[in-house]
Amino acid sequence: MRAENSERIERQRFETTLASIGDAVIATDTQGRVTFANRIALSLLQRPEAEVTGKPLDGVFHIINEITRAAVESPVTRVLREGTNAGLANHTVLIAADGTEVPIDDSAAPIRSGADAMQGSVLVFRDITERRRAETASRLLAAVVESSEDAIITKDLNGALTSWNRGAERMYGYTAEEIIGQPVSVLAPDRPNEMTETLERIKRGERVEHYRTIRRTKAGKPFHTSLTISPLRDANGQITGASTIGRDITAEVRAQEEIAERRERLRVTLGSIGDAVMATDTQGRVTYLNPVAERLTGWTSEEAAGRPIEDVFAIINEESRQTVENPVARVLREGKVVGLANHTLLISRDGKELAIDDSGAPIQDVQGEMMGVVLTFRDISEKRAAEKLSALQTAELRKQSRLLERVHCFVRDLDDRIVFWNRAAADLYGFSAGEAIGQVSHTLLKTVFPAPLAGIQSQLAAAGYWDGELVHTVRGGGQICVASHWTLYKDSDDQPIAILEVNLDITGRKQAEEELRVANRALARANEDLNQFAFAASHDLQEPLRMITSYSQLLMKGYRGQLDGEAATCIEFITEGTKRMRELLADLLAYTQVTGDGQEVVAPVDLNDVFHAAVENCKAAIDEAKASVTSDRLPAVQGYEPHFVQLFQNLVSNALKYRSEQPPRIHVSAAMQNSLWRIAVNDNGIGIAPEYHRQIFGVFKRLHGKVIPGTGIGLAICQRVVERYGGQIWVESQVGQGATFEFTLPVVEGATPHEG
Amino acid sequence: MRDEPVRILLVEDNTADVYLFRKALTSAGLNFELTVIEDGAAAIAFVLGEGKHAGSPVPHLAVLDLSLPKNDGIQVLEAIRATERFANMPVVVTSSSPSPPGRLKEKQLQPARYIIKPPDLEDFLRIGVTLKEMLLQKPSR
Repeated sequence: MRAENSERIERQRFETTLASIGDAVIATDTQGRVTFANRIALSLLQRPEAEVTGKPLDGVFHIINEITRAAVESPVTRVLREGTNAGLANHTVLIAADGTEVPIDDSAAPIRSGADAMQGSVLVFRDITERRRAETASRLLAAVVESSEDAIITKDLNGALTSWNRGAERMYGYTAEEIIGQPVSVLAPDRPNEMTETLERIKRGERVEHYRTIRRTKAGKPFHTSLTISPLRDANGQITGASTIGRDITAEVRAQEEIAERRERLRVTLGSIGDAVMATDTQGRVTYLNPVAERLTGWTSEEAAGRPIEDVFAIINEESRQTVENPVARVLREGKVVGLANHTLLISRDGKELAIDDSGAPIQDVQGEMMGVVLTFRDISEKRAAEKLSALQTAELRKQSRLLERVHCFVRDLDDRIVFWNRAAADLYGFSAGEAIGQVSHTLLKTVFPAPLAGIQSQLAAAGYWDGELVHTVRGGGQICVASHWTLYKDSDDQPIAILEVNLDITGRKQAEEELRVANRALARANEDLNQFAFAASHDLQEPLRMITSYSQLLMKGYRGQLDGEAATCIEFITEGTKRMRELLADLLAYTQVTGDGQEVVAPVDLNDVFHAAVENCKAAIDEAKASVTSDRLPAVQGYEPHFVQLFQNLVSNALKYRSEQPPRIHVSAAMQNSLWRIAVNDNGIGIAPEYHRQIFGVFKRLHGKVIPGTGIGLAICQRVVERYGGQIWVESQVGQGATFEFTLPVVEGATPHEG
Repeated sequence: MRDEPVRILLVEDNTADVYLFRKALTSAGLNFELTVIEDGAAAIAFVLGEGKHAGSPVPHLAVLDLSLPKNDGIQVLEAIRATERFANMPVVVTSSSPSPPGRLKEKQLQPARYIIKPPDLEDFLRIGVTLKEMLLQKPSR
């Protein structure tokens, strides 16, 4: 009883122990029948105790190989057969009553009482699902770490490296063997603070994400990297170190720098060019305006960004005023470069209109995909205005074509290119309007200028016109001379836009002028020849005349008393004739000597002195006629004194000769009239009938035959003297009422006129 | 000495004037020996003692007309002044021009006297008296 009782107590204790442990336990007898199964075992088998106890183990404990799915011998069978412990093969899966599969780890051992007799066996097994999962996860992680391109390293809180993956080896050049245990600062020897700070943050439990910095390789080469650093914790959540995942971003940084550099270069280029530049995306939305585009459109790049191109770049046709298709839209549709139609106006943001010239082109990426459109345009308002104005003026000129048909004219722009060419110009030059328009006029007409062209142009710019004579070459090579009048056209802002050149063909006139000059020269030469001839004749004729005189006198003297009366009369006539001829020759000589050849010394001449000299020379005749000869104060004139003495003397002796019954009264007076001295010699003589007033100044003209002595050359000499000094002489007289000879002489500059 | 005739050289192409000069000298009562040369070139040859004129004595007085064939009177006067033997011979220049030509002054060829041939016979004959007075005043020349 006692023994039975103690056995029962022993069994109780055993079962309680088995029931409390975590593993499944099943005991069998030597026949392999289940004698005991603890709770865990029943739970894994998914069976109640009644279905298990007393039953053969193989009936409830089905195990298979996880991979082959073949039934595996129970370790209990092996223990009962071989009497030794048996472990379970790997990859064993228990199939529970409801068919669920559980990976297990098991072993069996014999139960012996005393030394040898086997009482049965005991089977111990456990569910290893959790362990297997953890193992798989850990292997996966290791594989990931090892195969990663990133550098994955860990360090402890002192900064000593504790792990180093293959990515880290590739990136830094250190192997795991040589680096583990080294301080992390070897990776950035020039950035110790950064390391310390990071470590402090990790100790505080913080995480550092995508931290961009520079690290050095084993070879010392720096590279850009992006680091994500996390704290490492042990099972208790205590921070023990840090893991760092690093990525080499050198190429990325380079690319970004290059893009930034390129963008800057582009910005500077677009900012500095004279054309306006805009860009849009593939939806036609504005992405960029350069400064010129900003100025012309009135939109800033920021304001315009994202707006449809039509808002910012609004264009219309100049004539129809209809919106024209935006070149951006056409580029997007056609995918190629397009130019703008003519006569396009840009309406700026504030409503101003600008004539523009533009083109659009697609922006393509490296694959040739369109990324957007670039639009280039420029303000051609000025050019257009010039075209428009000259077109206006051309139209104006056409209207006046009836008037202009007689005038050779054309209009040229400031580059001297012909923009209008009328029919008269075509007739004159032989070039049609079609041939002439667009040509540089000076080149087409081979213009010969009277002065350097630059001087002419500055005169034109200053005065607005220019007049001068040009030589032009017509079609066929002939040269013509034209009187040219240039008029500068200006716009409303006073800016020159074109030049109207009106030409008058004066070739004929120039030829006539030239012929006249030649004729004048010939005439002057003939006149000079005649004068010299008259001088030589009058001079040389004196010689034979002297012979006749001398020898007729010699005859009279030598044969006095021996000649009869008739011979004596003949000789007397010879003497008379020669005397008269001598007088004529002397006067003729005097006349020829009053020439305009300017060989005499010209000086101021006081006419008072001249008057006295003339009176002195005529003294005998004055006394004989009991004449009164007086004068007012007379002025000084410019000339050769003997000429004036002769002038006064001839007029005084004339007055004496043609005196009337009463004693002669001769008076000389002077007055200034129209800047000329007007000098009058008045007498109370017989007077001259008006019909003779002109012819008395002719050479050898005499009115009175031999009644009054004279050669008829005196007044001709007077006229010659007066005309030589630029004056005029005439007479005012009636028969029986005396005569007044008047002549004019220029006033001497600076000479003080005498009073009276 | 008084019986020796005065040697007078007359350079004059007009034979009518030569006649009147001879008349004038005679009527002035001069005892003279007149050498007449009718052109400028011959006169220069005389001065230079060329050909038939070699060794001719220097005249006491020369009367030189300005207008002469070949070389004119001025060239003759230049030759006279340039020839040492003749340099001091008094020269009377005659002409029908009322004033002496500028060339005489330009070349500083001041003659002893400038006489305009007068148209009147009596005036002409008076030239003989003038010449006689000149010869009497300067007998050494």
